[in-house]
Amino acid sequence: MVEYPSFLPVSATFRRLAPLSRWVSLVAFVSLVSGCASEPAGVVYLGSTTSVYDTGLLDTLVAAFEQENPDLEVKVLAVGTGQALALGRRGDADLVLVHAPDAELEFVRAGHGRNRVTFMRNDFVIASPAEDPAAIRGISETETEPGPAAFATIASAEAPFLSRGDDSGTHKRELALWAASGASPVAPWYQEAGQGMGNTLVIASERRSYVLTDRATLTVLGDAADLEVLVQGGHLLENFYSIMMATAGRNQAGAERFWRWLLSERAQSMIASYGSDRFGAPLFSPVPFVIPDDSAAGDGSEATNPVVLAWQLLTSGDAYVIDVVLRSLAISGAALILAVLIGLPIGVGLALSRFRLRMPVVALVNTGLAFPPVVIGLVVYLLLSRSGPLGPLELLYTPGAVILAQVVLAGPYIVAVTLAALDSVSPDVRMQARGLGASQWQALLLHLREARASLVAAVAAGFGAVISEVGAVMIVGGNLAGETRVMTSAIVLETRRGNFSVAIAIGIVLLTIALAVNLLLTLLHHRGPSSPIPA
Amino acid sequence: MRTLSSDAGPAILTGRDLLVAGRAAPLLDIEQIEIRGGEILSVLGPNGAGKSTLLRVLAMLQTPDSGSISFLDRSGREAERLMRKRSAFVFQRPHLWAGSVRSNIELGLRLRGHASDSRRQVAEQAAAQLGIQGLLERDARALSGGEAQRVAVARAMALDPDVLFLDEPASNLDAMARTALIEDLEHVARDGRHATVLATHDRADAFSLADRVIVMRDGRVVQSGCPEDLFENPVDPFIAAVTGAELSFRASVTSSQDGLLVVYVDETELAAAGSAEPGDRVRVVYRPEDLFLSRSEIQGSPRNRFQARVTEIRPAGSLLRVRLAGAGHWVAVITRAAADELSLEVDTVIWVQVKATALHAFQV
Repeated sequence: MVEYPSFLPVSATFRRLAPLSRWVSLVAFVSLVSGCASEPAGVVYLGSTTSVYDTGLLDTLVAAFEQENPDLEVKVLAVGTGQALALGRRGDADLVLVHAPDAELEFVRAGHGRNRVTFMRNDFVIASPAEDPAAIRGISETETEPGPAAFATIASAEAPFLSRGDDSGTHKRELALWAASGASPVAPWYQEAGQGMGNTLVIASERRSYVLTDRATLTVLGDAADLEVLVQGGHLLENFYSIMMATAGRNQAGAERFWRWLLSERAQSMIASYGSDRFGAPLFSPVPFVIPDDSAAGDGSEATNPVVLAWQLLTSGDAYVIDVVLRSLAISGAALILAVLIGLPIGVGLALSRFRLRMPVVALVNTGLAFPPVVIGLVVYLLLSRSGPLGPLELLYTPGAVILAQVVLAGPYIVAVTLAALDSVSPDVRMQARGLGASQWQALLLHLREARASLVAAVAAGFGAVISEVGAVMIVGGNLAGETRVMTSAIVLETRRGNFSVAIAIGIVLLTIALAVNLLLTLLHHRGPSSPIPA
Repeated sequence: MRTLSSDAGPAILTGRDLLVAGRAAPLLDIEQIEIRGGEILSVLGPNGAGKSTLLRVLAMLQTPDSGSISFLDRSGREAERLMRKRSAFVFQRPHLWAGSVRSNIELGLRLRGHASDSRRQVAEQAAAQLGIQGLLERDARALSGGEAQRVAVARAMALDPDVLFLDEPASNLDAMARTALIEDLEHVARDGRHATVLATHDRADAFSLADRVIVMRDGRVVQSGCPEDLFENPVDPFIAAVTGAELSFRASVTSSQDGLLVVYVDETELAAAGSAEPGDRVRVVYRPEDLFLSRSEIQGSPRNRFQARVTEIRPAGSLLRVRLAGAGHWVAVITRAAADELSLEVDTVIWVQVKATALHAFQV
């Protein structure tokens, strides 16, 4: 008979059970709990370039693999070559699938990766809308390396060119092509989108720019972008994809199983036929390879603490960070001024009037507060796009578009808080002022003066709303470097690129601004609107 | 004795056919009303009578649904502009603006564009008139109720108005503050330079200050006249109650002549004032202090004399309330000294005398 010490929190019921069944239930309970707490048998993280993911090839391959290997789950992180390698370096990805040979070799040399196999290919092309202002259309026929030649022609014509600008495999190849062409791309005709391949193509179509893209993504995008292939061919436009295992990855066994499967006959034949039914020709071709036997795992080099690096960036006044911060303040500041000029009078008008539809209008304004900002971005985008009603203004992807979206965002805040501020002041304030001889106008000014603390709070609230928004500004602004890249969208980009120190630096500035605004709001709240005399 | 209304100047502000519609019944429905220069007019009535509405309409701060107002022989827009320049309004809950008491008192002057040194002087005079010179530099938000009201009155007086409107200025104050304020208001009102219109639900305030009283109920004027008028000739029980005559009993009229009635109650005939026909049922209203008690019958002017037995003696503040049974049931109010002199106690039989004019009879 087992006696439990009386201080153990074991219920009386339990004590009363027969000794054997007590042990059975205890063991069952413990294994159930531990079963719930532990991870499923196998999860493998695959960091990949966006171009392979956007075509849907990865989803197809992963689905087939998981069907044959039900105990393993492959989670794809389609973050672009730059960040995929960063994830592999830190062990946050077990495998990386990228298309930047120089970076891959460096990755292996530094000991972060092993078992590198180049297993599939397609090619890069230079695409553009039909206009072709630099007249590069025939270059593929006349040059053995049409890539650099076309770039040189574009540079001398100073025709608009849109770059990925995000450290991806495509971006690295583009930079290599510029180097080979002997020309240096500069603003304003050269722009950096800082986005994935699909988005970059859409922007290039909108802005009628040349763009370097992998053929697969362009094909898949189809009619969504009004672009055609102008230049192709040559070694420098070849595009090779490799798979590598990350030495710091947590699930080495699972990673190896997927790696082997990807290099198997079945996977290779899937790759060879992918896309032919939908697009007439396969999007990728397999590449002959020999399966290596790298058993040696290098040691990953130490990463420098990104927070420390971020602080150094801030204290040294890094130009990129300063540029992004100042632009955010300028854009949001302009948007706020416009929102106040429009919203304040509307709020005052609503507060003073008593027309019949007042209630529904106030409800509408309050609904505007709850609108998801990204939906507002979408609506503004549809209005400003080439096919939209405001298309002729050509505002899309310019700072003007971002300001417009932010005005629409901040407007309801200004109106709603102004309304609340004026209503919070004693209702007969204006009548009392007139009872002392004030004109209607003087009475209104006195009313506003009484609510001034709350009105400043309105403006601060609007500013807080726009400075920290990210969805709408990216949709309508395109995150173009030097033009529409603000703090929030820069953080998204730099995180994707793996430049965590820059992202953290900008994040610190943004946090500081948000804290300052909130501090101001709290101080004003305590000063509060005027309170009537105690009765 | 207060000066009669005929001593006041001519009418400076008149309102005709003023109507403000309400949800069920009109908030204001007045055929004719006038304010005379230099007079003190009290507007008296219970809550919801329409006093504040009347004041706001007269001060042209609220537009009536129909009717016209003329101020200093002007009407329409011109009158409104003139009203803003020549009148000042004190609200029941005055709004004090952020800043010092001084800046609040100077507010109206600032709105009119007065120079700063003349503003200073005028503000100090106005503060002195209300006894708040010591508060001038204080933060206007850090005042008691009574102090804040004085500031409100001072800033209105600083404007040297022709008409001063006071909408229940003492209603939100405790009893002591109220008394003090009403006293100061009396000094302010009697400086002779302006007309004062005071709305209140307190009959003591209304009657003590006023040259003329208007009694309102349900948006209408029930009676207006000088305080004595209302006291002696109330037109209906409501007015009688308003002036303190709340006690009453029923009787029937046996004869009537020239405003003098003989009524019959409890086998006794009494003389009362009123107009009714023989056979009518009337309600007779009186004030307890109008009953004169004595040990023996005294020959004097009161027409009504009868004996009654004391049924109850109760303290009422510093006085005594005495219930009597005889010729009906009565309540009298006497001083303790008088009670001692009469050796009054329960079951004592005494003589009661009351003038006919102190018994107001109204048809029921």
